[in-house]
Amino acid sequence: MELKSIKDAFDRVATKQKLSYSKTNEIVHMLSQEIDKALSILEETPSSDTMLLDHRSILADVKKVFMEIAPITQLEATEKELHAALTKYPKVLEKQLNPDISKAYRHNVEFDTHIVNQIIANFFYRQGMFDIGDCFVAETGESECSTRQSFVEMYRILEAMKRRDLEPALNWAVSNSDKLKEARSDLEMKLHSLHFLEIARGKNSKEAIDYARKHIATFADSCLPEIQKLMCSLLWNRKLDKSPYSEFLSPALWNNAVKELTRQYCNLLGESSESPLSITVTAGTQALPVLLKYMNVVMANKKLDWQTMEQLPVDAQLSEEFQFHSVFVCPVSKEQSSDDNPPMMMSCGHVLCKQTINKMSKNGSKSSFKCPYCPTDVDISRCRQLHF
Amino acid sequence: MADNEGNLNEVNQVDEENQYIVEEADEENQVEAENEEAQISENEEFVIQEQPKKLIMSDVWEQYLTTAEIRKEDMNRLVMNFLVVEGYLEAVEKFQKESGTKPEVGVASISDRLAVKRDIESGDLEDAVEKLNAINPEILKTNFSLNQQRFIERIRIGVTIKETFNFAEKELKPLVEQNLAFLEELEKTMAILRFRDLPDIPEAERELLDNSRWFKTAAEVNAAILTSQTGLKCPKLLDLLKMLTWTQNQLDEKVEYPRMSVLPTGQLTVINPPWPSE
Repeated sequence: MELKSIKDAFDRVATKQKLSYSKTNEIVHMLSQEIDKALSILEETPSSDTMLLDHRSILADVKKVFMEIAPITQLEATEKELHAALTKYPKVLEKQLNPDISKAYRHNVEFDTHIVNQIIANFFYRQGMFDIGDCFVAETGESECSTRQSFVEMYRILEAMKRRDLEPALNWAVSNSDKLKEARSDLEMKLHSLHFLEIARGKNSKEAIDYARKHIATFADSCLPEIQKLMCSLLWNRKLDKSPYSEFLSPALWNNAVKELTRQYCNLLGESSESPLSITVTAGTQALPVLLKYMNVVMANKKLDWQTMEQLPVDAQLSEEFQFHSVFVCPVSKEQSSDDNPPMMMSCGHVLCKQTINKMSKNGSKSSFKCPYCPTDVDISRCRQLHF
Repeated sequence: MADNEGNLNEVNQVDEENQYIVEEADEENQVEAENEEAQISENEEFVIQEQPKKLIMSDVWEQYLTTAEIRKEDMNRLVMNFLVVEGYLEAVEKFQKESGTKPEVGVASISDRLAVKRDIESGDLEDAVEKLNAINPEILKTNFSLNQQRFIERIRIGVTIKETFNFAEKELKPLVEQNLAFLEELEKTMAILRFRDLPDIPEAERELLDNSRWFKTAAEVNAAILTSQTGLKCPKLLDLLKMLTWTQNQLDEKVEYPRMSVLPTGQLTVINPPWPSE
């Protein structure tokens, strides 16, 4: 979304408004001065038979001056410019910010309320908002979320890490050591390294060396260079910031450890490391501008019914982290696979769409056909559906 | 008549190229002259094939060599330098008696240097350090290898963690701060502290404890002492041999000449003219 043009339009309005304001002030000030001048003259005039005539003369002079100043004419110019800018601004807003995003909504899609409630409750628990989550669960009548207790523990571990307390994290990592090794995660070594550095900073080198002997030495096979740097950094213990190891003071080490722990913790739970709700909303935020543009321009002209379409009419181009499933395009028909036209793997290992295979086998009248890619004769009964 | 003139021209060409004078053949030796012409013809082909490189015969080369005057005193000093650097103490003394050549440094200095080297090679590092400090205290402060070995010996002996660590902090760390090239080696060394016992150290890191490192360190320290005493790292003779090798490689690209192919004996390859010289 291009916000620069909106900002430019706003700045233009603000500039015109300032100009108009200062111009108005200037003119009002000028008129005020003239009136004050006339008043002071009136007060100085002695009472006499000709006083009335003098007053009329003075007022006539003031009127003449006002006519010369012509305030209305002067104000008209700046007012006109301000008005023009104010008129343009809503148009820019309307062009850039679509006020009616409900156009992209398909109200004939039925959500499973039960699943949606679970997703929302899960989101609260992930954020550590356990009271809100519990309240939500009670009000919606859902059974308690099975992952609540796990997220309570994860939240406790992460909160402790924010206080630089690694004990809960280390306990969890040690008790899940085998699973972490299976996942090829270096989380345990990361946590021990952080703990080692904390000991070295807070206590003394001997205790740090003792800790290394007890907990870190076993990781030498996979993390020897890291271990070497840790041990060597002890020599600069009191002034790490001026040593070759100043990077060990970086908060990035802790942030990386938190992310890795979250990832591995959720991995062992069988959950995604990001909340499904936040992923859905973020992906939707990315896709929405493209859809709205399509709705306003193409759909309106073609009189197409968005509610009845089965597939997205335009490529949404989501970021890499939002792509979870591969898309198969049949090399023969050039069409994307779908539920009723799934990719099928033939006995030779090549993959075609089901409709393509049906055509090539004359809708089943032939028991075999030749693979388009290799000399193999394909037996239809041995084609198997693929799932990505 | 015409043929005869052609032969004379060929003879002149060969003469210019090879700087050899061939007597003109007279009619009385017609048969002999024909043989000589045949040989000249062969030689001419030889010369044409070797056209890009200039050819220098052995006897010409030896004439060049005789123009280089080498005084006996210079040779003696060269030999003495070698004996001093390599630490052949008795040989130094005897050579001095026989030739009257004085060594650059005193016999006592040589003896001290050899003692330090011997101590390091046998693993007696603290004794070596005492002697080294007597010779030149600065060397110990700048040599990483020796201090690294001292650190490793403390671990081997079983000195307390605290004492070993303090040693590293006091002796090894300043060296690394002066020269970051030692940092990687220091990391390997400090990583040994994570083991409680030496048998726990895996094969990959065990080379730090290998005795062969003593000889490497000893050579380093020996060179450092030499440098501080004489400004030399190795014998001058060694430098000359390297220079000789380099020079011959340079010459090989441009000239065909009698090469000194066997350095220990100074033997030259032989390049003789293809005909008997008169």
